Formats: sequence, structure tokens, C-alpha cells
Amino acid sequence: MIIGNAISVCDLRKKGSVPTDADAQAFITATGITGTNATATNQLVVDLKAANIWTKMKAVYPLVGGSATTHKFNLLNPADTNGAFRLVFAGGVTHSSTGVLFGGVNGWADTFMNMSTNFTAYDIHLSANINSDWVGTLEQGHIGAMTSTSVNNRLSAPTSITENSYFPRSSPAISKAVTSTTHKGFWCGSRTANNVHNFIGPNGVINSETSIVTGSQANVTMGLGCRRGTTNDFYSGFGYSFFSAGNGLTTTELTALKTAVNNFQTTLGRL
Amino acid sequence: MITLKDITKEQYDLYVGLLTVEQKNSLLLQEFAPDSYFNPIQDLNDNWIISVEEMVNCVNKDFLWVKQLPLIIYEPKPSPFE
Repeated sequence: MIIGNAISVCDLRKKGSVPTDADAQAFITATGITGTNATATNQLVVDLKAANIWTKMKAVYPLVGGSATTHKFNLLNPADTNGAFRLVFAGGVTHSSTGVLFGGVNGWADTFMNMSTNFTAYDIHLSANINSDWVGTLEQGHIGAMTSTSVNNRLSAPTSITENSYFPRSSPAISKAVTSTTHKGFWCGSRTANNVHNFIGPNGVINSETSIVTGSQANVTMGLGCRRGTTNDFYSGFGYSFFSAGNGLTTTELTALKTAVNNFQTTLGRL
Repeated sequence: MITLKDITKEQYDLYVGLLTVEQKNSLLLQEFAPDSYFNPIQDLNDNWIISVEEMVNCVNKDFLWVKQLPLIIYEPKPSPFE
């Protein structure tokens, strides 16, 4: 039986939806999610493949099902192993149907994806969908890693409540900041060359930077919900409903990813 | 002494549970709930602490004592890079 206790192809067809994608089915089976969680996840996979983004992904965390046990799985490879980049949550993290809420003290998730061995310096994207704001006095890390001011590739929120930043930073240091009326929404930083950096925020506008930035990726595993490094800091207090990491995306692909993630969140009623 | 019963959910990020070094060592690599691990860290004054969420959400019967930890105001360490 391919469906287990999750969702059947027949059920989807009866509802006029698309057949279950094989990759989506593997995730549905691993997590045990059902109903709208399953149909929305299937549509997310279908949309990512239609936009030719799927093959550029190394990890996608849909954060569906409402518990650490369902949130930990990587949609790309839903095996319960470090090698599959399954998440391990540590510290104060609250799980619910809306996703994960990092508590702003010590909560984070380890992806087990070493950034220096899984990414080249100039071919990477990092994304996060934020669904609850938080006001803190320190910067807060969304996704990525930093081991020095010159080895720094991550998304984060500075102390300002209305701004998020993308740091493809090595040498010379640059960052791209987008000001928004809220942190809530989809954020993604991407680079496809040493002088092609694109950053999209909730308003959908692409901000580009053409400075030449050289450097390398951090030799630590990528973290979610903190500034991951040899010692973690800047623990996030935001709520999140999606993360992804993979190869660099074009501006068209950035927009397509934002649309797919927005549709996914809308179907789940958790924008 | 402030404990869990003295604070509201809105105050969770203001307080942390204070650990002894022995208690900190006993929590390393241990789950407080399925697929959720304790993460003791040090605060500005080098106290070992855990979050209120770890205390509240702990269902591991071997570590239910964390719910009785004294609470102190959370003071994060400054970043080494700033």
C-alpha cells in the first residue's frame, strides 16, 4: 500500500486535485500527515517542479503536522537521518499547526548540512517564511551560518523591527536589507555568481547587488532560528512556517518560489 | 524565588531556568519531549540556563525536576563578532 494512513491518490482525484507526486508521497508517508496538510504539501512539490526549482533544492522544511516529529523532515529526502538533513530541535522551540516558534533564548534547529561541503561560495539561496513577529533588542538569525565576519552566509533580522537582511558576506562585506512594514512573509537571499546577489522580501520586490564578493562558506552545519557558528548566538524569537536552502536562484525563480510558498501557506490557512 | 507558577506565557522570553553545573551536565543530549533536546547555554554572567519552554514542555519523566528550577531574568551574552 503506497498511501498508508496519509492520503490516497483516489482521495485526491475525487477532490479534483492532482495525483500525488512520488516525492510528496514519500514525505507524507514519513510524517504521517493527512488531509489538507498532505494535499498542500503535494501541491508545493508540484509547483516547485513546474517552476524548475525542485532540482535546485538541497533541503525544504514545510513544517507541517504540528509537532517536532513531523516538522523535522526534509521534503527533499524524508529519511530520519543526519545525512538526509533531518532537523534536530534543541532548546526552547514551540511546535504547532502554524509551524515552529523559536523562543528567543536558546531554541534552534540543526540541519546537519555542512555549508562548506554542500555549497560553493557563489551558488546558494536561503529562504524563510515568517508568520509571527517578535521585538527584541538583538539581531536574530533565521537561517545560515557565520564563523567570522568574513565567512558569513545567512538571513537574519537586525534590531529594527521592519527590516530583514541577507548576508552573502565575505570580503568585502556587503549585506542587502529590505525594509517592510512587518517581518511576516517570505524572505529569500540568493547568489548565482560572485557579483549577482538577489534578495526578495514580503512585498515581492527584487533587490539586487552587483558588488563582487569573494570568500567561502562556513565550515559548520547550517542552523535555523539562530546565528549558527562555532558558538550559536542571536537566537530568534520569530515564528516560521517554511525554510529552504539550495543552489542560487534567478530573479524569476525567486518570484516563483515566493508564489509557491505563499500558495502553500494560504492553503494551510497560516499566512 | 520566582518559579514557573509566578510568570505568564507572555513573560517566557524574559526569564530562564537557573542550573547548577551538575544539572547542566545531566541535561546534555537529553530529550525534554520527543525530538526536542535540552540546550543549556550560559548567560551574561556565565550562569548555566535553559529556557522556560524547555521547563514547561518537559515530559521526560527523568527530568521533570526542571519544572522546579528557580527563574532569573534572561541576560544574553554579547556577540563575539560585534
